[in-house]
Amino acid sequence: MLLARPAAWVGALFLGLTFGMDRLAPLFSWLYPDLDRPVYTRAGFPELALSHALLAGSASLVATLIGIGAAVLATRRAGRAFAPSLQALTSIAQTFPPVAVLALAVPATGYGALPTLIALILYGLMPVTSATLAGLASVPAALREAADGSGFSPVARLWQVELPLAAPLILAGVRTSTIIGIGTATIGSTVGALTLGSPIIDGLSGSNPAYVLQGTVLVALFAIFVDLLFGEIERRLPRL
Amino acid sequence: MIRLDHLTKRYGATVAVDDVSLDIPAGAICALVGPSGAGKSTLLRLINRLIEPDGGCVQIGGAEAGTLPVVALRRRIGYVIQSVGLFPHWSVARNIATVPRLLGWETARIERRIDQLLDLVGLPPSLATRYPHELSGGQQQRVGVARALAAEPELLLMDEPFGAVDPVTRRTLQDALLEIQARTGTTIILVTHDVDEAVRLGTVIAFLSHGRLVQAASPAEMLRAPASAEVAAFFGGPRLGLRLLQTASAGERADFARTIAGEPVEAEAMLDEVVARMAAAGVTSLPVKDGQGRRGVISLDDVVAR
Ligand SMILES: Nc1ncnc2c1ncn2[C@@H]1O[C@H](COP(=O)(O)OP(=O)(O)OP(=O)(O)O)[C@@H](O)[C@H]1O
Ligand SMILES: [Mg+2]
Repeated sequence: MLLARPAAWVGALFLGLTFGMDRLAPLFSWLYPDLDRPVYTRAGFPELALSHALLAGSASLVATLIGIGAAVLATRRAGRAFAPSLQALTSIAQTFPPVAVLALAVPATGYGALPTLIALILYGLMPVTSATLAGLASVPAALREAADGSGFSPVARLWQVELPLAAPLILAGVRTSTIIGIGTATIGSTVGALTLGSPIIDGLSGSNPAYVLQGTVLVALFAIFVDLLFGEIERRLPRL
Repeated sequence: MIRLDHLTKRYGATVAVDDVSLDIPAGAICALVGPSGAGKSTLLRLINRLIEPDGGCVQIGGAEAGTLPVVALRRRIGYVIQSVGLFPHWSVARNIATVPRLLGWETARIERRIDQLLDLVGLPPSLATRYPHELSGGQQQRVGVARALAAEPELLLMDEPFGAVDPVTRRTLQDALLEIQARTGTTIILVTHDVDEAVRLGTVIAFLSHGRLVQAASPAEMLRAPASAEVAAFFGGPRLGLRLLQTASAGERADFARTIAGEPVEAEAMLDEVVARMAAAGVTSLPVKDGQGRRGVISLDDVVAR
């Protein structure tokens, strides 16, 4: 059953390559006969993948919490005035090139994972926020009236009626945000974060196309795997 | 039970509810009628405070509604909204359980209540696990009514609750509502576009037009003396007299001192049914029998008497 799902296959392939890249050294030697060191060794691929996943994952988590929270606040009576500015703000955050955000964050935070995390969070906010705003707006007025008329408290209405009904759209936003995050985390290596982008950056600067290939394939597989996982979750959501 | 005191609600230039004052005694059924856009739904929303008035106030059970905690107030008021508004992510049972759960009833009590209510609104128990999109429009409406009735509210606001059900089911539901009302003494305000429903259910009919309360009276009074041409037209214009036949029963007009031969009509039957029977049989008098087995007679003269 589970094995019939592409997510399982892509996941297995990703893990297999992550842990078995060294064994593929003959393949890379054959592909690129001129290279002395055909497989990236500065850090192990499992370490790179874990660090990459943690960075993208925690950024997505934070972006999701902030994004949903901001959208919820902006749709409550007290915060309704902020909704347009929130939309504008998150769109602006999205127009900054991630490299620029990184460059701006480095002087403030130093090299490493932190500037990457900040850039990823800023970057992930927009899809989650706008999806949550759209999801909450998609709840029919009649249902809000029925909920209020039944005597739901505002918090109960949010948890029991609005968020469950907005869930499919919110989840789609989180999916987009997370996938973007996984891709964007790659460039975190330019400011010293340890990610699957490290072999790509080192390969580019050191003219080692094998490193570039290894990093690219793993990042792509990781992104596809997570995307398919989200697909599985969406499939399990009750259809209304 | 409920008193509307110079109630006014404006939306920009439209005055949706215009200086409405009305007293509805406990246990009454007030049928709220009037043309589309008259302000009927707005009036209901003012009562459960989904909107706040621009002028005047609502008193419920002696207390001003504006001073009561709004969430608690709404849990005491059953509300059937015009567009049904079932929660699509919840089963029928969960929808019906909405207010009891908010009130923190025990599970066993809620389950019993769900079974009871499904039966009351004429839905098979097998529907309990279905989702709203798996129901017909009429079935959804009945679940909406069951949801409003669930916590035995002291006041029931119903906005066209039976609009989407077929005439036969509608009558059954009206009977069920009358029965519930008789048993629990709930005060009901019911919006309807169905004149027969208003006459049949209403102890009071309130006629609203352009936000104003044109007339509030018992069905018989309103039919005998409509306050305006608009009211008269609403109740059928030249055929208004026929509706008067729906306001009294055979038993109220029959002479129980004598009887005649033939298939008797029930004393509870309304006069329109008596006339229908007379027309079908080509006679001007019919025997009557009541619940205690008494026999009497009703003539066409009795039927049209004032
Ligand atoms: N939220 C609102 N904003 C602006 N105008 C409104 C709003 N709600 C109602 N109105 C207006 O108030 C008037 C009364 O509306 P209401 O819904 O109470 O009518 P109704 O008697 O229930 O009509 P119907 O029989 O068609 O349901 C209408 O003119 C309507 O356009
Ligand atoms: Mg209405």
